[in-house]
Amino acid sequence: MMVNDTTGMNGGQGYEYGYNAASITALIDQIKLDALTNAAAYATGDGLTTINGVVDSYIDGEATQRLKNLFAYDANLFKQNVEALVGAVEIELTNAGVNYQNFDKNLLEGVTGSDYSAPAE
Amino acid sequence: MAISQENTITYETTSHDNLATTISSDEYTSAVGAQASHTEGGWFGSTVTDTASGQAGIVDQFKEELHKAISDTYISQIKNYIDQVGTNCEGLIHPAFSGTEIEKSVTKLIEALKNEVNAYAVALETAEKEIVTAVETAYVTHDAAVATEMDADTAKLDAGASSGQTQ
Repeated sequence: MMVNDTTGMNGGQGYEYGYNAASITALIDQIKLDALTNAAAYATGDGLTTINGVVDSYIDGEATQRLKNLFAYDANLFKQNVEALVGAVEIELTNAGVNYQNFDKNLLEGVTGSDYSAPAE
Repeated sequence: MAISQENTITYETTSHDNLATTISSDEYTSAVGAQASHTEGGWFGSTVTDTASGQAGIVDQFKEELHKAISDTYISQIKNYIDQVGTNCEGLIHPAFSGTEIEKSVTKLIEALKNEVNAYAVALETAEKEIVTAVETAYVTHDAAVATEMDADTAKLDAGASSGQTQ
């Protein structure tokens, strides 16, 4: 079986199934950037500040902090759930990646008898 | 004009039913606080006058700005970020992985994140309604208290005038 470098996702270093460890890492990193660094951080950071600004402008006294607590609680719950989802998919992708890597490696070794433990150049 | 009447507002508990993490009503109540007290100047304080027209105007303005901040800005921006997860993942998944566990996992994640945002939007919408209702209720009570006191003051003035006339 020929190793097709051109279908690899990492500069031609992948196996013919288009996978290598770096491509999975890049995928996970991108998910973390979009879901955690952007969405969840905005929900509990700058976005929350916007809502709190309205509360500060109109509500006085004890109620001000209670309303901020309410929004902060919901925002943190959202953040925690996003983190849980991303954490779960990270495990799934890592495991799937390992399975594919082993599948590629075993398949190649079975056909050629060579050791393909390192990506083909 | 002194307003001595106190109005107690209770928030309904809100939870994300379809989220990965659920919370009990007790936990929510504990975290948020079960009550918000309204005393003189408590809700709007110096930003509003005691006249009915002034209160109605500021309440409407508050409702409008709160809704704009929550729905038009906050939730909208979070949805944009979550949409970017799908777009960017699409560009990183090799076509050869169509139908594989990798693609299924990412698809499942994107769907779950969208559900999460929608659930969050619903929770905030509910909170927004409760807050607006609480504020409106506070002002109804506030108005009633002001009106009662004005009536009492007027009665006193009338009584004083009447007394003065008779003396």
